[in-house]
Amino acid sequence: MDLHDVAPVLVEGRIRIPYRWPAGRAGGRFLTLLRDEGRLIGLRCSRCRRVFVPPRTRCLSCHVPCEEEVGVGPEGEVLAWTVSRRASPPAVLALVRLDGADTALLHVLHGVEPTAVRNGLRVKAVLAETRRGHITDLDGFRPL
Amino acid sequence: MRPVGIVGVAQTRHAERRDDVNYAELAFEVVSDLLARTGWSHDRIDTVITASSDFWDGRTISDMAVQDAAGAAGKSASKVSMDGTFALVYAAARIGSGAYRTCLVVAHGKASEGNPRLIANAAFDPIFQRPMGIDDHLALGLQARRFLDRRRLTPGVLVEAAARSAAAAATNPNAHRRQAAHVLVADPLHEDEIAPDSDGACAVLLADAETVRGEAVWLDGFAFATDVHGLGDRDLGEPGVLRQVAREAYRSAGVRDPDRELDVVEVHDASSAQTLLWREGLGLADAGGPAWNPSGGAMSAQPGFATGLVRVAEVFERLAQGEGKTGLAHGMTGFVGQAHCAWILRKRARA
Ligand SMILES: [Zn+2]
Repeated sequence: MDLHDVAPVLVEGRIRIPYRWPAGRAGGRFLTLLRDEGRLIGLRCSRCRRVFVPPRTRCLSCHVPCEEEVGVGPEGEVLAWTVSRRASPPAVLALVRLDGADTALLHVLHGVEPTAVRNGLRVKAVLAETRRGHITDLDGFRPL
Repeated sequence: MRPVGIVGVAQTRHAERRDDVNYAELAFEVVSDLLARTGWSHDRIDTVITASSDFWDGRTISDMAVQDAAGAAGKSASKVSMDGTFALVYAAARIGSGAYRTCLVVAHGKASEGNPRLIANAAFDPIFQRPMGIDDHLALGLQARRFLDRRRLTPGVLVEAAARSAAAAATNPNAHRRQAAHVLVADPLHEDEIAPDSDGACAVLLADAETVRGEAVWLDGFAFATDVHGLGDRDLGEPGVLRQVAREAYRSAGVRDPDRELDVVEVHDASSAQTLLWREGLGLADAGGPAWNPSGGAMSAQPGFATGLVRVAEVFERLAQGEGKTGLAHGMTGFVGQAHCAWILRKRARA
């Protein structure tokens, strides 16, 4: 018996496991204000003064609490972008630094041809009509 | 730390799909090859460290199956769910501490069993990033775009870097032979500018100075570090913590001028933008210097967490064959270079 001659047998499967992920205190505050008031906020580090969006309870560099809430956006700037060519139609993903923030939010760009996107592009947040406390309550960003 | 030497290495031929074996058999294949090449047997191996990803293997604590293949029963086996270069840190510490004299490191990746893009998506933060449809290729696209803009480069440099990797891979008998088209996947990256998803494995056997006799290849220095996770929390267009990792690795091995002192460098470049970016991070000049990714790097094959360990095996083989004295092998874990590890290998007589 030469085991190298065995024709491959493939067993198909799928793992489906439901989860419940808390957004956390900072993320929960962000999503609550986005849902109820359509506002975007960040949290500022009390030491280095950087504003994190998405907000963090603690600064990633200083490790001290970020307790000062600041409004950010709704306008911002594209820092990096790509196009998901496997999506149909192709989706434009971007890292957007909202005005008043020091870190960038990953989201989708609407109303712009992939060939027209540039880093540094000024964009504005677009809210979803119905909101449920989810990052997609922000529908995405449009060029100004 | 006590000196740690490399007894031998083995890697599989990397491929698109190895439907003929399950992942434990793939690990068994590379371990058997390593034992055959070195003339060693399992009873001489004190301890085993493996590198694997549960999500990639589609089962929790998937290393349990690999440990059978690695002859780990009855030994103090452990695993890291990171690239094999990080498993090597664990292994070298076991010998460097004097607690063990020999250690087998085994890493594998079998991308074909699952869906690499969906698995990558599931590794991102589920609150803010995952719902955006982000995956590893799209993160590489964001990084490449940022890199080009920061350096005022045109996408032509990505084409050239990918062509150089493909030419090197053509001479590598273990390379994953693939049909990659020049079509956009994640702007500005085309399919042929992104490292393939491969099936493959790699094994490295380490031992102390009493076991490794005469002239051999030694692990003379290393460093590793991790950066913040969020894609928007670091500048993707910069080499990030790789600069620090390179500095510390050079210092730990007494390398003062890497361009002159290194003879060969192998990096895990998940895209042709990373081929350029990691070179910058390692502090090497744009041209000249050491042989750069002579195997084709990760662009020649990317078998999951074995990818970095394959870089170690490639550098070892070149030094063992007399193609220079000192080399650097790089691995990474996490997306777009969140964590980096660098090893300095040197061929020399026993200390
Ligand atoms: Zn701070």
